[in-house]
Amino acid sequence: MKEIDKVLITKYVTRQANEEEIAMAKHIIGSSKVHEEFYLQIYETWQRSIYYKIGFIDSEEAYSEFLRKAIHKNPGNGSLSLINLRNLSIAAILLIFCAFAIYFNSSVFLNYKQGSELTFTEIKVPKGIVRKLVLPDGTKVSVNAGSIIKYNNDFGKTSRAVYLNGEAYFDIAKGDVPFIVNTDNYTIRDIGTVFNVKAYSDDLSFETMVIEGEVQIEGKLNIDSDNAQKVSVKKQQVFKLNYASDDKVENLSDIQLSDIVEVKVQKLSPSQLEEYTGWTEDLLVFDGKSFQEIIKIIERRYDVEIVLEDTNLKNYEYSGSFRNINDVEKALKIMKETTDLDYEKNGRVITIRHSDNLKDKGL
Amino acid sequence: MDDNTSATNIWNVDSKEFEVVFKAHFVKLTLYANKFINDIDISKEIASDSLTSLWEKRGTLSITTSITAYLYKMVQNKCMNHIKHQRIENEYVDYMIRNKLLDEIPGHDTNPYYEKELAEQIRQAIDTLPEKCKLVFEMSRFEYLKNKEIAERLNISQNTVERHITIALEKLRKSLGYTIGIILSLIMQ
Repeated sequence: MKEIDKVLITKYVTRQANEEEIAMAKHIIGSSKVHEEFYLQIYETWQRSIYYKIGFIDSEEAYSEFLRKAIHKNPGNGSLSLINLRNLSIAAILLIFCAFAIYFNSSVFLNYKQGSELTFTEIKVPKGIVRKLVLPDGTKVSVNAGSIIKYNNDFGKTSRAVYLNGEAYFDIAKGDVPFIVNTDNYTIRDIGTVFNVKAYSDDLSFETMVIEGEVQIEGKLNIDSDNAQKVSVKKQQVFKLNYASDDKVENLSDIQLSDIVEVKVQKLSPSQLEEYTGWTEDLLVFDGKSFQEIIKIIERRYDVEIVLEDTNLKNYEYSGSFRNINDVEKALKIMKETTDLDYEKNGRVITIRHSDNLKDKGL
Repeated sequence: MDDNTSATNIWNVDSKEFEVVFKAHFVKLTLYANKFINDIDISKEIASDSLTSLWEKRGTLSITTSITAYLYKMVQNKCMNHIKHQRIENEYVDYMIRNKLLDEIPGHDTNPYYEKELAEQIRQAIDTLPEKCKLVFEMSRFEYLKNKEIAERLNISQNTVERHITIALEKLRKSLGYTIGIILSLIMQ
């Protein structure tokens, strides 16, 4: 077969041919068995090449979309991971009201009247997986392992507020109503943007990184002031807040504001962005991160538990990146090869220690 | 939930069970629709519509075969309707109709081992393409870019883009050659 025929058939299959070329392609496909066979195989091949990135067809996203439509169509039949407060006792309603008052510490909550259909959607992403969602307003959210995200079911009407415990990447859909992310201690107000928020309640840090546009962070930033402060974070900047790493502190909610040791807004170079957003594409980047932080990330990503034999190891810094590594052992092996660390895996528990040959050298 | 519900049973699920059905079928149904439509976005919509209508019919639907077979048939019908309404002509669909291949549920699509192996073969084949060729192919396949846009972005001629894509598919076809041979011979039986 002539090369030119192959190109023409390929253009037809990949939908790049214009009308004239389509007619020509059809003609040559019908002209001989060889051409027909070639066409059928190229067509099949083009279809099957999707398997190269099968994640391209995202059933999580499709399912969220389905939920959204199914709920919208059939609000009375909201058995789809909805909590219908009507079915709960008054005591439970009060309890959840209190919880809401904490989560949505804003006028949004106060707009609710008792007796109206008060429901919310909670999405809990277990450790070991990342979920992609589309919120009712069309906002795309990737939710990292071990995170919880919640929103009211009238989301989008008078407000667009979500509560986040964990890490999520937001690509906000355009809209007249501001988009608000509430975390335990801070509120992120969006002005039409793409950004990443990392606010796990068991982390000793809070991070917001802006890819496009601008966000405003509100909350107490130091002990000297009783009032909440506002900080603007612009494109390619990251806002970071670190708490004192006191071993006694188990939970961020136990932390006093006096424990804040560092607040900074830092400008990022384009090459640094992946360190913050890589997780959405199964890429983990560590650029001189401490083991204390890395352990948390690995535990969430692979749903394992990591124990450091020597607690001093938590200050150990490591740089490296892992792309599409689905097996924690593979990641550990790479770390082992490039450091003087060794590991032992016992079911879900991984113990990290100095490697023996270095111990022998007296290190 | 029993996937192979027998003839007299009414099919019913709760939302938890349906989530499993949805997630187990969505990708496969999309790929199946894509055979007829050759457009991933529309194929996703058709897969999703079919699953939605299954959900709406829960409790009233009696299925004589299996949920999987039922879904495949529904997707196929929706695809044929789409082709008719949009007046799309597709030589591949014509070929399938001519050779009476439409009534088959593709057995290979429901075999996870086959699928895994296929994915691995495709990954290896694409990863061994020359760098530029691979880049052009990925842009065309996964970023929905027109050949002209790819040419502009990479500052190469449109002819070169077309050649890269032809070479990529040709190589891929060859490395999948025996597999496709098997598929064709299976469905031709």
